[in-house]
Amino acid sequence: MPQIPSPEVNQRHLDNYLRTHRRKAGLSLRELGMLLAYADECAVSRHERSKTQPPILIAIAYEVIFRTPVAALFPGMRETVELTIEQRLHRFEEELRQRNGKGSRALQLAQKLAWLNERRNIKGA
Amino acid sequence: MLNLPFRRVLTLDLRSRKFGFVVFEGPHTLLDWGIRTHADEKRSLLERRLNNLQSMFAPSIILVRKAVERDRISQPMIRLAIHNLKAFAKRTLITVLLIDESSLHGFFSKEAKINKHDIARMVADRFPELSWRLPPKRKPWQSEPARQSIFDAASLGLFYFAKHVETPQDLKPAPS
Repeated sequence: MPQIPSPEVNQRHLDNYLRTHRRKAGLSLRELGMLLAYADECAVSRHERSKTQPPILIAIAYEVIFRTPVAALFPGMRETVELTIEQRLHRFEEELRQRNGKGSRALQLAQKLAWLNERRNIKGA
Repeated sequence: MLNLPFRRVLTLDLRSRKFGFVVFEGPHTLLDWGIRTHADEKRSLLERRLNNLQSMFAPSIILVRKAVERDRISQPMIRLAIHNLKAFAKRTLITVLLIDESSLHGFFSKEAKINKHDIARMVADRFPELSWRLPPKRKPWQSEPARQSIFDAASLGLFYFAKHVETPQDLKPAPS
């Protein structure tokens, strides 16, 4: 029996799992396209291959059809968005900390910082 | 034992003119499966097919079942396909592992003597999404249905994950 090497583990999610869910359901591209009120299968195929991103209504429709949350259907996309937003929030927080304010401005600043802190704790929990 | 969630494995049952494939993500999830042709006058067809699979699923390893083709026409075609596959894997830095039929068969028939149909049934029991494609048991004079190739490819995945994750007891054939 051959010695089987353990491969490098691919930790990245796929961009989307639409194809997997569609194949599991036994649906053809055309049938899924029809359920989404597309004229043909091209749009679904492009979504599966991540050539284009589905509009929000179609993303919700995928969620309804496969009974799977959008974030689980598009984990790669979610990961990318999360990373970008977290970086922006981090920069935003740094900017806020450098700002000075008096009176209501100071209160508003404190509220934003408290929200950022709370948000971080929720995420960490 | 490894138990990591994102091990994507592409398994191929390479024949002279077509191949069956299954993409696994871990031992319990099938991402995709099917049959593709690869024999035409251009040698790049296999590469294009593999490129599509690679760009869609980014597998970490490709397992290839070396089918036993005894006739003189198909043997060189399979050799060429394997050569092209290895060249593709080298370019894309994916590990390729050839597994011959005897090791695979030896693994599945540890306790009882079983044939390809029994293995296919085992695969279908484990992955119900494939069960509608399970070919009927063929008579000795009948030729093998094309879809058998999907099950042959899937059995490679079971073999691979059993080596890394599970114990062979999980892969016992279902009672008939």
